[in-house]
Amino acid sequence: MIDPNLVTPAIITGLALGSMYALAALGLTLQWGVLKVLNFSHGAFITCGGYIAWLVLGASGGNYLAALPAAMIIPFFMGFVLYRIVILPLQGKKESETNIFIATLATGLILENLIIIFIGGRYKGLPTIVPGFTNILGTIINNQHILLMFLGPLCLGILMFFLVKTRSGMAVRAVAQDNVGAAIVGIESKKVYAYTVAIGSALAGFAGVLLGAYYFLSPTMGGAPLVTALFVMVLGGMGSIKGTIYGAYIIGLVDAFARFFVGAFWAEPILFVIFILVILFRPQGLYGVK
Amino acid sequence: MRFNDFKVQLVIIAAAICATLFVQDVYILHLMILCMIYGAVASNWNIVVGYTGVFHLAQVPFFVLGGYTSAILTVKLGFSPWLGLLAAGAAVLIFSLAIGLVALRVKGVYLLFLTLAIQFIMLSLVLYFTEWTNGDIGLLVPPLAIYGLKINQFNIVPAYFFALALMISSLVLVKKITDSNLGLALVSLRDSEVCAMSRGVSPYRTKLAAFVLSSWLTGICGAFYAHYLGTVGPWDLGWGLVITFLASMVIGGLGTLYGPVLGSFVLVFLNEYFRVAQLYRPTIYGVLMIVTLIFLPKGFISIVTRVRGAIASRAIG
Amino acid sequence: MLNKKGINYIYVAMLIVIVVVAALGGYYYYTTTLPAEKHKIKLGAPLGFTGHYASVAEDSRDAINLAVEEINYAGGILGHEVEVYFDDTENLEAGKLSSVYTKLITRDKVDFLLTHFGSPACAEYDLVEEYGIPYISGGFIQTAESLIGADPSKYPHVFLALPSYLLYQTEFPAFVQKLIDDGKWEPINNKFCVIKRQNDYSLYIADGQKQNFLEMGWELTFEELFPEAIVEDWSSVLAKIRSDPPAIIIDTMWTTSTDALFLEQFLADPTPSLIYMQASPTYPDFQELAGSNADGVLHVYGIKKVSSTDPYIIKFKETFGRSPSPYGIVCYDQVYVMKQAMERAGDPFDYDAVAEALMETDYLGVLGRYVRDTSNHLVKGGGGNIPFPTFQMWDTENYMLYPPEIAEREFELPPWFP
Repeated sequence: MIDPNLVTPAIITGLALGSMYALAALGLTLQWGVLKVLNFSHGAFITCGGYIAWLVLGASGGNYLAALPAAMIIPFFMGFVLYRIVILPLQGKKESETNIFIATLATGLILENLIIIFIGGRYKGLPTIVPGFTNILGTIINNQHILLMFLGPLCLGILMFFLVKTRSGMAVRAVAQDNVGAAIVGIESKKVYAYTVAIGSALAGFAGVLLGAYYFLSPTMGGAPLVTALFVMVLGGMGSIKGTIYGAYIIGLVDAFARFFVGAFWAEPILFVIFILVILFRPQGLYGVK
Repeated sequence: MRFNDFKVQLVIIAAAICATLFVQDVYILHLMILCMIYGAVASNWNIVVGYTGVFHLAQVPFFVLGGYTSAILTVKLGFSPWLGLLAAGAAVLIFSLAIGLVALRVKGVYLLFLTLAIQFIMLSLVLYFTEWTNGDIGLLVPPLAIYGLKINQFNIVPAYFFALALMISSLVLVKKITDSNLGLALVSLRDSEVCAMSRGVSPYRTKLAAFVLSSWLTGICGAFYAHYLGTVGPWDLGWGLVITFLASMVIGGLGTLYGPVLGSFVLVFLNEYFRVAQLYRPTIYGVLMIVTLIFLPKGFISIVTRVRGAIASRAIG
Repeated sequence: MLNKKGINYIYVAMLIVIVVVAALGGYYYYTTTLPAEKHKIKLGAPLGFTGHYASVAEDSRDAINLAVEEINYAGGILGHEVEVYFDDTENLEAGKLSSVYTKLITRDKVDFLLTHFGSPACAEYDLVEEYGIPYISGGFIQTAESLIGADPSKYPHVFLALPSYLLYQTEFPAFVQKLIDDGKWEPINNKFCVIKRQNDYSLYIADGQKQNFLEMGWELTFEELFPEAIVEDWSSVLAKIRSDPPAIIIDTMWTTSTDALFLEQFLADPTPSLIYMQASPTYPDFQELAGSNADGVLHVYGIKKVSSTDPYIIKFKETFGRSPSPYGIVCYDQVYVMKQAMERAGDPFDYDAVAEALMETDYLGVLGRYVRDTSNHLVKGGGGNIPFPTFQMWDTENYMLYPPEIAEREFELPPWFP
C-alpha cells in the first residue's frame, strides 16, 4: 500500500502544510496563552488579510510590497478595536470564557457577512508571490511551498526573539504567567492584552495573504485554517509557542501521509480522531501546561 | 391572579400563542411553529449552557440525530412516524449518555472542541453512509398522521398544537429541573465549582444528569421538525441551526426560563419582518449577540422582568 | 438612574423602544406585502443569496431581471406587466425553504415560481403542488428525474429547466472512442484515473463515466474521493498521477477554484494525459482564475455553444459588468419559457392551464432548444434539443468538437503534451 515513489513527495508536502498550519495557529495560540481567550474570529481575520491584500494589489497595480504590510497593519488595528469593544468589556466578568468565545464567534460572522456584501461571493485569486517550480530530490515543489517552508520558521523565530529578548516581549510573557505579579512590577495588563490581540490579528492577516496566494480567496476561506489551528494548538499544547511549532509540523505530516496513503477523504476524520484522543488522554498536549 | 405562579404563566403564554390562530395566515402560523420548535431546543440547551455554565456544541447533533433516526426508521424501515418520534427520543438519550460519559470528564475549551468534533464527524457519517441517509441529497420524510389526517403544513392546526405542546414541555422540563435539588446543584456549579464540591456536589455526575436530561426532548423536536418539513439533510448540520439556537439563547437570556423562547421569537420574526435587511442578517445577529452579552447579560427577557418587577414594587410601596 | 420610586427608567425606555420598533416593523410588513393590483403577473424567485451559492444566486437574479425588463418593455405577457419577488433561501435548509416558499405563495401571492435550485431532496414539490402554483427549478436533476419519473401525474405543476444528466456519463467516453477510431489520438496507455467529490452530482457523473470506460476496456489506476469541503491541496493526487501516468484524467470536482488550482500545479510537471473537467470550464471565474492554463482542457456540458460574442453575453456584460455563469443563462431562458406557456394557456392566472402548457414547452433559447420530456417533466437532451457537446478550451473560449453535426473545430493535442 505504501508506494515508495510517493514517500518523498509526502514528506515535502507535509512540511509545507506544517508551515502553513503554524502560521495560521500562531496568532491564536498567542492570544490564548496571554489572555486565556479563544478568539473565534481568527478565521475571519485570516480572510480579511487575504482580501485586504487583494484590494491593495488592485489599487497599486500588483505591488506586494504595499499589499503585504497593509494586510498586517490593518488587522493589527482591527485587533485593537476587537479587544477594546468585544473582549475587554467581557473579561473578568462571569462566564467570561464562554461569553468571549460567543462574542468573537459573532464578530467572525459579521466580518464574513460584510465581505460577501461589499466584495462579493465569487472566488478571487492573488497573484503568486514567487512563481515557478523547483525540482528537489526528484519531486516538483511549488516555489510558494518553499517560501512557506522558510517563512514559517522565520516568523516563529522573530516571534520567539521578540518574546524572549525584548522588554515588551518579556512583559507579554510576564502577564501570561501571572498578571497580578506583573502588575506589581508595573506592567499594565490591559495594554499587554490589547497589543497581544493586535499582534495575533496581524499574524492572521499575514497567514491570509499567503494562503490566498497559494490557494484562492473566498469569504469563508478562514474556516478550515481555524479548525486546523485548533488541532495544532491542542496537540502542541495550548498557549505554548514551541508546542505550536511542533504540533503544526506533526499535523502537517500526518495530514500529508493520510492523503497520500489512505485517501483524501479520510485525512480529516483521522485528524479528528487524533484530536479527540489527545483531548481525552493528554489534554495538555506536548508542551502545554496542565 | 398570582402572576408569579408558573402554571398561570404557562396558561397566559399558551393563550397568547393560540390567539395568533385568529390571524388565519398560514405563513404566520408556519413561522410560529418554527419559533416554538427552535425555542424548545434553545431552552433545553440552556439547561446546560445557561444554568450549569457548561458551553458545548452538541445540541445540534442531538437535534439532527433525532431527525435522522425517525427519518431512517420511517423511510428505510417502514416504521410508523409515531414510533419514529419515540425512537428518536430514545436514540438521542442513549447517544447523549455515551457522549456525556466521555466528554464531560474534560472542561472548558476542551469540552467545546470535543463537541465541535462530534458535529463534523456526524456530518461525515451522514455523507458517507448514503444507502441509509441518501448522502447530500437528504431524505424525503412522510408526515405524522392521525387516522389519515396528516400533520404538516397543509393541515397546520394540529401541527401548531403539537409544536406548542413541545414548547410547553420544554418549559416545564426546565422549570422542574431548576426547582429541584439538581437545579440548585447546577447553578452552584456554575457559580463556583470548588464551593459546590465542598458542599458535596459531584460535578461530573451533576453535569452528566443535566446533559442527558437536556437531550431527549431535543431529539423528539428534531424528529417532529423532520416530519413537519418533510425532509432532513446534512445542511441541518451546518452552522445555520447552531447560530439560530445560540443567538436565541444569548439574546433571549442565558440561564433564564423564558429567555430562549423569547429570543427565538424575536429572531425568527426579525428575520422575516425586515426583509430588506436579509443580506445583513448574520451581521445583525452578530451585533445583537455582542450587545446583549455586554450590556444585557441576562438577555432581553431581563427587560421584561425588570419592568414587571418595577411595576410590582410600585404597586406595593 | 433610579428615581425615588425605584423604577429603572432605562429599562422602561428600552421596552418602549422595542415596542415601537415592533410596531413599525409590523406596519411596514403589512403594508408592503399587501397583494398589488391583480393584473400584474407576480413571479416568485427564491434564490440562495446569502449561502454557499451566493454567486449563482446573483447571476440568476440578474438574468431574471434582464428578461423581465425586456418582456415588460415589449408590452408584458398578454398585456400584463411582470413583477418579480425575490427572496433569500440561504443554504437551502428545509426550514428556510419552506418558510420562503410559503411566504411567496400565501403572502405575496405569486403566480409562478422560478429558481436556480430548490431543496436537494425536492421537498418543496409537495408544497408547490398543494397550492397548485406552476414551478420551474433548475437543480437537483437526478433526484427530480427519479421522483417525478416514478409518477409524473403526482406533480402536474412542477417542471425542470434542464435535461437529464445521463448524457454526462456517456458522451465523453463516446468522444474518446471516436478520437481513437478516427486515428486523431494515440493514448500512451489504456489507463485512466477518476477524481470525485462526496456529493450526488459528482458521484453520478464520475461513477457513470468510470463504468463506461471500464466496459470499453480501460484500466483504472486510482480513484480519489474528496470530502465535500473545498480541496486545498492537490499534492497527493498529482504525485499519484506522476508516478503512474494515465492517458485520461477525469475530474468531476466542479469547483472552479479547486480545478484552476489543479491545472496550475499539474502544469509544473505535466503528464501526457487528456484532462476532463466537469462544469468548471463554463464558469467565468474559472476562466479568470485559470487563464491560459486551461488551454486544451476537455469537458461536456448541456449547453449550446455560447461564445463571448453572443448578443446575450454582450448585453449581460454591458449591463452587469461581468460574464454570466450557466445559471445566468438558464434563468433568462426560463422566464421566456414561462411567457410562452402563459401565452399558450391564454390566461396567466389559470395555473392549471399554464401547467398544461408547460407540458408542451418548445422554446429556442440561448442555452439551446427546450423541448419538454413529458415522462419526467425535464427537457430533452441531445440531438436538436439541449445539446451536450464535447468542448475543448482555448484561450478561455470553449469550442465544440463533437458530435460531428455541430463540431466547429478539430480536436488538438493540449499544449502540455511533449
